Amino acid sequence: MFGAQTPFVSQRKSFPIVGVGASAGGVEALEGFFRGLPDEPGIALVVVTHLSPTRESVLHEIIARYTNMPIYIADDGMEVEANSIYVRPAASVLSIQKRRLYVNKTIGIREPKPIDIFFSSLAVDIGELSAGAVLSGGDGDGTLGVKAIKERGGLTLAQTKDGFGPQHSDMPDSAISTGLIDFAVPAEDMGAKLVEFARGNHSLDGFVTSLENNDDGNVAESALSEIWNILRNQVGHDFSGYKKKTFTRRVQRRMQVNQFTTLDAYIEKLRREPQEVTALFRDLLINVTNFFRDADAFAALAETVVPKLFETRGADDTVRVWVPGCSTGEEVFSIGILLREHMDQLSVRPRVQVFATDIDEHALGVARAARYPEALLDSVSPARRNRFFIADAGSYVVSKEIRDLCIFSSHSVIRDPPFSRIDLVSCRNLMIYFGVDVQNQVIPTFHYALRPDGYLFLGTSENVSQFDDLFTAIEKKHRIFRRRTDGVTPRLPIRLNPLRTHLPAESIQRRTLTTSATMRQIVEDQVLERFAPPHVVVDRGGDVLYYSSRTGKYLEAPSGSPTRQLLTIARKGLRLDLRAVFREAVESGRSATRNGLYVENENGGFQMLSLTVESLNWRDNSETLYLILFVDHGPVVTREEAFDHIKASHEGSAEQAERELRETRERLQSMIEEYETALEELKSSNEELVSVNEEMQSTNEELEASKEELQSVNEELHTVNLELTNKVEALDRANNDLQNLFESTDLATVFLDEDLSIRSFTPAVGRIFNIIPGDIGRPITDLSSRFETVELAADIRNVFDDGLPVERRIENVKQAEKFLVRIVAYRNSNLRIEGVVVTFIDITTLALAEARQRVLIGELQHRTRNLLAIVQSIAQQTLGKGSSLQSFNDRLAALGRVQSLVGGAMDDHIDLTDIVKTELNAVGAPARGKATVSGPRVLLGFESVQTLCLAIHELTTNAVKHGALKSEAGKLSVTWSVQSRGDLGTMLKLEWKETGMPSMPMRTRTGFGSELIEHALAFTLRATTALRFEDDGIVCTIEMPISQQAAAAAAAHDGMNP
Amino acid sequence: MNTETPLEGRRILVVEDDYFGAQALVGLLQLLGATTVGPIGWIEEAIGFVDKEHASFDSAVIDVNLHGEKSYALADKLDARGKYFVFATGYDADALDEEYRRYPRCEKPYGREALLAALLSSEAQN
Repeated sequence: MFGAQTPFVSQRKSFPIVGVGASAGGVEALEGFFRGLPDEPGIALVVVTHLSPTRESVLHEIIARYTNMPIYIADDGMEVEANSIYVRPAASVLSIQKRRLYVNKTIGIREPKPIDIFFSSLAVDIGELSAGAVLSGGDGDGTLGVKAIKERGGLTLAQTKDGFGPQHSDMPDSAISTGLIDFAVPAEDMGAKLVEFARGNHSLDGFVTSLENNDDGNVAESALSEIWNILRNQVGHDFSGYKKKTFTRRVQRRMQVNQFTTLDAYIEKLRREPQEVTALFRDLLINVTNFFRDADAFAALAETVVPKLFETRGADDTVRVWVPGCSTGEEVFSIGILLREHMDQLSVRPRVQVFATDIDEHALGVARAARYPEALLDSVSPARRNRFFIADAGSYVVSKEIRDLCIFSSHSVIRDPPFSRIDLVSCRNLMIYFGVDVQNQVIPTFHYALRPDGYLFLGTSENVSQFDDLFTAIEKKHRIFRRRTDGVTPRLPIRLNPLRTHLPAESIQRRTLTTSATMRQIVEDQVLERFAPPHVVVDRGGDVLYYSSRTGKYLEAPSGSPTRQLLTIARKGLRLDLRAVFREAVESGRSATRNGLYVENENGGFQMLSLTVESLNWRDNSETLYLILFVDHGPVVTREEAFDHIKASHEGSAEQAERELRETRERLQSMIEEYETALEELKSSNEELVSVNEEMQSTNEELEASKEELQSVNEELHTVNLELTNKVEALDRANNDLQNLFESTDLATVFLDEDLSIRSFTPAVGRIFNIIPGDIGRPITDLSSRFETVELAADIRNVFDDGLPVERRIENVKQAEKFLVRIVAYRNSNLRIEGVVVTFIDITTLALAEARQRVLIGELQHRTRNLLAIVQSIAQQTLGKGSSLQSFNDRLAALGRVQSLVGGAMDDHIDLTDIVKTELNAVGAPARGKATVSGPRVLLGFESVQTLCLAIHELTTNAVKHGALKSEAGKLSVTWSVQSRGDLGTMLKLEWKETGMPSMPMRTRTGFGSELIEHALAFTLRATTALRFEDDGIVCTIEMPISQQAAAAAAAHDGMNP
Repeated sequence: MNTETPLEGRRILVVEDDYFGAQALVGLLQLLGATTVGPIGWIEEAIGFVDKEHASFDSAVIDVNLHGEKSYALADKLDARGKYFVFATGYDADALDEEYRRYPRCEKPYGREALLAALLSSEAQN
């Protein structure tokens, strides 16, 4: 990974370009930022924000308040000048190439990450001259951009709290949590850092040049070796093979950050402060972000491991991969892509789960979004880019098929219990951040998490060499290991120290102590090696942590699985005493020694020795360790000599033997007690475990049952959903029917709710109220109407109160319209009144008909009463003057005939022909063949008809009794004509002429008949009558004015019969 | 007052468009002892008569409907002249216009007592 450096763009005499990213709360942060900048900082600034387009468009004006530098809105192809500010135009994606800005207006639908995109293009363009400042914002934009800048040697800054915000700290926090921020400072302090950055680039340029040109090369060279040494000693990595120029750049950046101008001063700091060494180390290692970084390692993984993962897996099985410390997800997706590519070749595809965990929620957020700037996709082949990424607004989004494989969650590999039954753990470049302690804890954790034969994939600079018993290397070069199953029982390191995760400084301290290569140490090493007694270091439990040389005489590997338990591996004769002296030291806390012991060697010789156990406090706050020294006394002796010696030392001291025996008994007793206690404890633990197990089992069963329930609930939901769908369809149909009904009926109906608000209405209501569909929900009393609605409102209240329908007629006098309003309660399915239905029925025509009927009835009464008055008069005239009842009856009959003529007439007008013929017909046979009737069609009104008819009746009666109709020879002709007399109007002239019989004076001349003809016609019809008695019969002429209507009928008749 | 001829000495104008109706009315009035003036069948003729000859009669019986025309103008004229009058009508009361309903009415066919009562009430009213 150290070799894979992007070539730096060398732009000497060029100025740095600073990307400034801000989002929510950005205006205040920008204010602080620009207030902190001098007018000529020697840099160019490009401001990229997520502000709403309206605020963005006035952003340059806002910035102008706080700076005197010229401000430009970035334009396509604009060259960036020093001491100038460029603002991203609204709704666009900004990038930079060869120091020219490029504006891309095409924006995807999803949220773009303009800051990431600009920062990464800036990093690619000008490398170490780039700088990125992340200000206030509410998401994780800028995090990947900062990585890109840092990776190419640029400077990174993020805002921390002060008066100018950040109001939303997610964005800077996310950037800071990557560990790649050089300066986490308040916004207004950034300016000073950037000015220094610009200056520093110039001065250090000279430094780098001198290195390259070997001017004063020896000084620089020796300084660099000094740094390599410090690094090698502290962190155990040798950077001397690292590219000198790149290495210098990194050192230079750290010097800048620490504000050192000379290498010597910096080296001094490195010596003094291990933390700075760690920081430099991490800066040197930044290369972890890209997809398929260390392409060879990934290729090896794809080739060696991935196929094995899928071997013997059916479709129901799951391949589980764990990526602890996944950060922003590049490693996760890289592995996801490898797995997917392999799956493409398989016919049976097991399920794949890639668990990606990190303690950094911000980074997880970035990873879940799976949106990366193009710069991070350098190592992704075009084929993979097409297949697994979707280009969107200048960035690339990982396709769903890969994202679906990956599950991101917050999890600490140190604190939290690990995942289990994992096939592959990929933990690249995480452990370089961990100290030895944590590493010693994490690696067994991985061992525990993995299935037998599971794989571990580490970063190039990481190793598990201290855990050879747990992992075997498969590809040493690419750090691919396989979990060992032989011998060691999987153990979960349960006793997890509450260690902080990032404590490399502390571990480095230890390295300094143990590996510092000074003369003294070399001497000490040699003395130790050659002259010190053999010794081991054990922990409180007796597990050996350290062996010196030449311990073989005292220790021997027992049969069975390998062990580090001191008492197990101690040679036979030593065990009891070793246990005793060890116990004594542990219990007393003092050093304990036992002399005069013998140990048998392979050759059957005996060596006398003494054992010393001493506590060893090598670090504060840590567990006490014990140093056990094996000190030989004298030469190797034979068995006999040894026995003699023991005997000699014991001889004569039965007392001492007894004491020892007593001690031993006591020890035995306490051992037994301890043993029993331990046994008890074990028993209770066992019981607890059993109960836990049972609980687990029952929980499992419950879960199983829950699952089944869920399944059945799901089924039910499906069914219910189907039913609902059907119902919705039915409802739709019913609704449509109703709609059509409303539209087809002309009834104006309004549905109102309790507040008199309109619920719905038929289109016909529009004729009554000014109503539009938007009025639904408004009270009807708000709407202007053609009618008074006061009464309507009162009526509606009544309906609400008693539930009885109300009908009312309302009238619009102006429009001559009448409506019947019917208000009926609207009841819901519970029969509760929820509203009213108001129907307006147009009864204008009905009302007209009624009025007309009333007029007709009045008219009928009028006529009837008039008729009765006439009858009254006729009775007086006829009966009162002594005429016969017969003639009275005849006259009444004539009146009756007039009435039937009127009744049969269509429009109250009767043809004169009909009148004459009816009277003639009434006398029957005598008239047949004797009478001729001729004249134009003349329509006479009711008023005229009655009197005229009676007159003709009198004439006919006379003719039958005394005239032409009585004798055989008699003839009658009735003729008439219509004449216009100018101003006098139109006149009807009717002639009644009897012929063919001797003259006979009219009997009725002075009677009713002649009175009628001579006076009644004159009075009632303004007629002029003449009644003459010619030689062969009566001639009667009647001349009377007639209405225009009657005349018109006559004219029409003439026209038809010329 | 003579109960046989209660209208003795009165001159009553008869305005009625139908000859027989007029005859019946005239006959009845004469029976009641009145002297009849007219009958007149046409409204303009009647108005002209009232204007010129108002001294020749004391009171009047007028048909509401004269050849299809309402006789309100005549009634107004009579009222203006201070003549008592009675509407003769074949209609119900509500067929009359509102303002003319206050005048006494006599419905056709004429009855002796009804006619007398109407005439007397017209006098009493004024």
